[in-house]
Amino acid sequence: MKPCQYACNSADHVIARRNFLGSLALGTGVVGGLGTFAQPSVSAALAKDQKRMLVINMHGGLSQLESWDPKPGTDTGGPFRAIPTSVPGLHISELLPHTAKVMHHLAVVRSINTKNDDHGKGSYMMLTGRRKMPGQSYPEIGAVVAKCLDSSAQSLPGHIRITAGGGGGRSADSAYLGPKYASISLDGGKPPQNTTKPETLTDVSLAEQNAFRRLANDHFLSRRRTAMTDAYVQSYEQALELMKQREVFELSKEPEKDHDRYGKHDFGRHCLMARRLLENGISFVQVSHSNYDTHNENFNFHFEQVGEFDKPFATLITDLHERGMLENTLVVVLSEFGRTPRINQYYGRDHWGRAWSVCLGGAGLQRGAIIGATNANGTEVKEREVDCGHLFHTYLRALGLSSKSSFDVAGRQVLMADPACGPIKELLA
Amino acid sequence: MRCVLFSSKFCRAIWLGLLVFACRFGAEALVAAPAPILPLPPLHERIDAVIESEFAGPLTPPAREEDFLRRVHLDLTGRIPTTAEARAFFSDTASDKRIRLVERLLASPQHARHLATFFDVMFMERRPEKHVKTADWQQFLFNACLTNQPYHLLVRDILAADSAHEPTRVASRFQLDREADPAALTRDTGRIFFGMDLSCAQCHDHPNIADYLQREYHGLYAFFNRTYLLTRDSDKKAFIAEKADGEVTFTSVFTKETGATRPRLPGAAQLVEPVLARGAEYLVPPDPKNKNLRPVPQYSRRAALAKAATETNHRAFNRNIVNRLWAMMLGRPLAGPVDELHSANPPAYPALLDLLAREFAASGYDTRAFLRELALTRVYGRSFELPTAFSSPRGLAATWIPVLEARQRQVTNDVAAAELAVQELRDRIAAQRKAALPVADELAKTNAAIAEIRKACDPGINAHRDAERELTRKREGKQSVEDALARLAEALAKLPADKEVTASVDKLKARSTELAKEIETATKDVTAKDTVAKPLREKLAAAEATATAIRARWATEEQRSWSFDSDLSAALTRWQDAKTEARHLEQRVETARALIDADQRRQEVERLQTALVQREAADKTSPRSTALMAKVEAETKALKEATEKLAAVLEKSFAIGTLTPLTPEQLAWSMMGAAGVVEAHDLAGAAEFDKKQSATEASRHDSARLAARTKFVEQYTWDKLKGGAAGFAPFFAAGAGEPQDAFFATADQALFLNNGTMMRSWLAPSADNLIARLGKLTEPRALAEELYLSTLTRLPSNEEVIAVQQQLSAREKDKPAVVQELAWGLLTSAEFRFKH
Repeated sequence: MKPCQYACNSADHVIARRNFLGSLALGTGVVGGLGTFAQPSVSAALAKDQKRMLVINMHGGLSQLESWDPKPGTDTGGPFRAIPTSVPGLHISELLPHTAKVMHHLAVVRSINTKNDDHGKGSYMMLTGRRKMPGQSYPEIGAVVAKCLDSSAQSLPGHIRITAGGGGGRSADSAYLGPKYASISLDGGKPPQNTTKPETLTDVSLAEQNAFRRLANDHFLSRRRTAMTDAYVQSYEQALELMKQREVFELSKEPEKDHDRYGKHDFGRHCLMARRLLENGISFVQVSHSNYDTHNENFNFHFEQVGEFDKPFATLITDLHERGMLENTLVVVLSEFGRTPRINQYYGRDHWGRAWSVCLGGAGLQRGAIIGATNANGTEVKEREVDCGHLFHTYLRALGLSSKSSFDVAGRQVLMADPACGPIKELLA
Repeated sequence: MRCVLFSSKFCRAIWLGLLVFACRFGAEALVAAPAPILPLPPLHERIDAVIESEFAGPLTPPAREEDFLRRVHLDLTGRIPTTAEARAFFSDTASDKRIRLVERLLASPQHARHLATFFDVMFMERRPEKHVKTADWQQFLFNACLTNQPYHLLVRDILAADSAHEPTRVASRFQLDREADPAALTRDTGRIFFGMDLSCAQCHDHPNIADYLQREYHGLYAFFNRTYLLTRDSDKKAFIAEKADGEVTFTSVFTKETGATRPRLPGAAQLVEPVLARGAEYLVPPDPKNKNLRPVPQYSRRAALAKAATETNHRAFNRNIVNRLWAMMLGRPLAGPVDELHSANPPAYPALLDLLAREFAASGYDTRAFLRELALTRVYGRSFELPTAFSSPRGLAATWIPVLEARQRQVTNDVAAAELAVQELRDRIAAQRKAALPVADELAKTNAAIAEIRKACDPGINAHRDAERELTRKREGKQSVEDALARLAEALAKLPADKEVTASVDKLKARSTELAKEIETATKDVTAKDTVAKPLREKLAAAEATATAIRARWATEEQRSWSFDSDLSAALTRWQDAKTEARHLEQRVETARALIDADQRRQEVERLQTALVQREAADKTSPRSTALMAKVEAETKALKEATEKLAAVLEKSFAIGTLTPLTPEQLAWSMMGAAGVVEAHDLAGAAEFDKKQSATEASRHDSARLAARTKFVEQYTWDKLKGGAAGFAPFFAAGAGEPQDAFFATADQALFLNNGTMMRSWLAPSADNLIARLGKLTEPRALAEELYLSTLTRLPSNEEVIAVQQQLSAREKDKPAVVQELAWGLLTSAEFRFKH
């Protein structure tokens, strides 16, 4: 059994230690209470300063020119105009009129050079903050956040992806942090797998079978009790708690008015679901929006896609702000890469990692900041070039984590972020 | 006869006594002991002898009978026993019933299946299917386990597998599904076959593990550096391909030291490789114009790895597998993590790991025999419960410390001496390198000069070679045309005046004449080009000849450097062994101290508690009594800490058993077994076999038929249920490509068992399954016994019978629901989830 101990506020240490003490049935009259495994219920009122993270993943590669870094009137600019935003001097694409009004809560980084044009590698880089190397894999930011920010009293999963459909169950995106922190998918925004009680199972039976399980455990654990047996016993109490809190995943509980505000399409519903999950204390939520891989008809597609993205996103930012959550919630809109400034013969733009943008904000990041710049027609980074590693450091710092700390992976110290980079300091407040 | 038996047992006792004595007082005592001429006791006794002689504290008593039965079934067949098996075992009063049980299980096809799963998880770590079908691979492993194929031969098949040869392609999954990527193969070969995760030593010596050097990583890497994945364009089928060239050099990013290495197994000398003449490197040479052509080198480094790893009695190779098999049986490895064996992380008993490694290799890597020995040890059969007293029955812990400390002082000197030897060798290597520099320079210059000449000569020489090839091609073509004409003549004889055939004959005749002319031209061309090429060849040969002397000098230097390098490997091993011994002694002292400490604390607590009771009897309110109570509390806390430390020590020393979570497969098959799903399929399978091969009176008890039937039934049930069992891995297994020995318990697992359709379907009454059987039982005790025996392999206690009775009587009308609740409660209990 590999020791599974990591640094950073983890509850694992605490549990392991507590249980060892509990395991000593020595006849000295010092041990008791073996039958008490009930999980303290999660307080509805979350600590005001609980940090959370929301990632909106623009699958396929959002064009920076049709979003955060427009170049109207140049050979690469395309047909759309740039519009002013609530931040004086900051212009973004006219495809984002609603977002333009909330830019004073956000910042843009316009000088990303990931030197990569491959979907898989790009996605890996942007979510792990490292370049892909054979024989090595690093946990995605969601797993890191769940690992470091989840409280031990948390019974809801800390790492959630809302996807358009397919997949399901647990992913392998937590690498060495282990399956406990792997993402749980809400396919099509539906509640997680197996959270619905089968019709044949009555409430009485559910209670009785669990009571009998506890009784059996009391008997066996009086012979030996370890950190592992406790974790196992606890997982059932967590499951029961999760079933009780299943409403957290039920979007129908949100007011009709909000359904209208967010829009009655998948992305709108998923944004509303993200708000609901974050409000209920989920540490990390990722919403995907597909598909931006516009090798053909880039402008028509962006017109539609960005148009769909704009209003729900702006609404979400407004709500997070009005509910006092933006202070502690890091929001990042990212892609695996941007799109070529050159417009190809099919009116498309191709894969492009050399000069592109992300939009981010909240969790105390500088509001309205513009980091870096590209040249006049966006073909290269002109100042403050950053890579995926710099962004990753920045996320960790914004979430109150030391980006230089390490995970202890079976006795080996693995740095949480690529040591070759550092945070974008001017973005941190 | 009895007398002989007695005396052999007696001798064995003496021998063991000597061994115990020797281990206790260190190696010098062993050397001093007279060499025993007695036959060695069986391995399982020697295993226990090492542990019992080296461990100073109390050893827990044997596990309860039912715990042992459940444990050995899980370890050898991957599932819990049936009620029939349990009843038979409990009622068996023979003293050899454990041995018979172990042997029966090892001979079962279920054992082969379980071991195949163990190997599958070990080799592939649940990677998704890519280029080889997982089902084929699993059946390949099953067949290997069914015939008890020696482990080293299995590994050789896997490492040497030819992916282009259909019968062996399945074995190449280890490499193919890692995309034949040299870095991934280096990492995983190191981890999985040698117990060393060298990946952090790729760019520099390992920062935390002194034994993992960059030269070791690259030595292993050199076996794979010429390997790549070839994907055929036509059907996207992937193959392992290998080139005949490419050397490995490396530079430390820390020290900037450079090195070069040929293939080398960890801790061994570099491989001696054949020197092949120019042009003879390939069996199938690569074609720059045809990327789909898979080159086949004359000498394959991958094949060399398969051979070297499995045929040289390699220490790390042997240690790795026995450590893993030990972990499979005992619930934790002798040295853990299993892919981090090194001298600062020594095995609990280094002498034991070496003993196991040696014996396993000496047995011809006989896995089944090895598992039998492990199952028969006392350490395997130990209870998992913590002992109530810590003092050794032998009272040794205190007296051991000075002896161990004296030995430590000596070993410290050994370590220093071994380190010095390594340093001296490194200096000599540096000096030799410096001395060889001028030779290397001169060689480089000579080679460069030859390369110039070659560049000038090659076009002419190659033109002649190509012309010759063209001529051969034309000749062969003409021959084919002639052959075709002969066949057509036959056809014409049978179909005289056939227009089509006649036309073809005329056409081919014309072509043949043309070809004759073309051959004539080509022959002239060859002659002309040979005239040009001849002086060029001579010039090149003369140039090559000038290099003979310097090449010989360089070969001498290389030979010298390899010899030093091999000495260095040996010196490093000696150093590591000395460090292992030092660390081991340190741990033994720590263990002894923890034992003494816990024992003293316990005595102190008892003394204080007695005093407190006496004081309280006299006067409850006395302030002195309050002070005493505080003291008891403080001491009790200290005892807890001491015991916490001790519990870890006891478990690490194998003085007690442990609780091990079932693997996803063990859990799934045990649940299906307990619920009666497996049995139902076994019965169906048996019926199908009997239908196909109906038994006659004579054949009914024929052992060959019965064996075939057992095997058929196992395969039948496996095929039917493997899909369901595979449904557990996504919840209970670690991520693909990650080490699979980490434990975690998550809510989604519990939800899967609480609400998932699979578990619910198992708990629906059907035919003769558990719930149906329970439904038919009316007497609460009988029902409770059937329930507990089916799920927990034991009879219920009186309290448990009462609890069952209460549940039943409280909701008499709901009996079907109640029995489901009871069964679910036990299937999801910790007692079911953990091997104990």
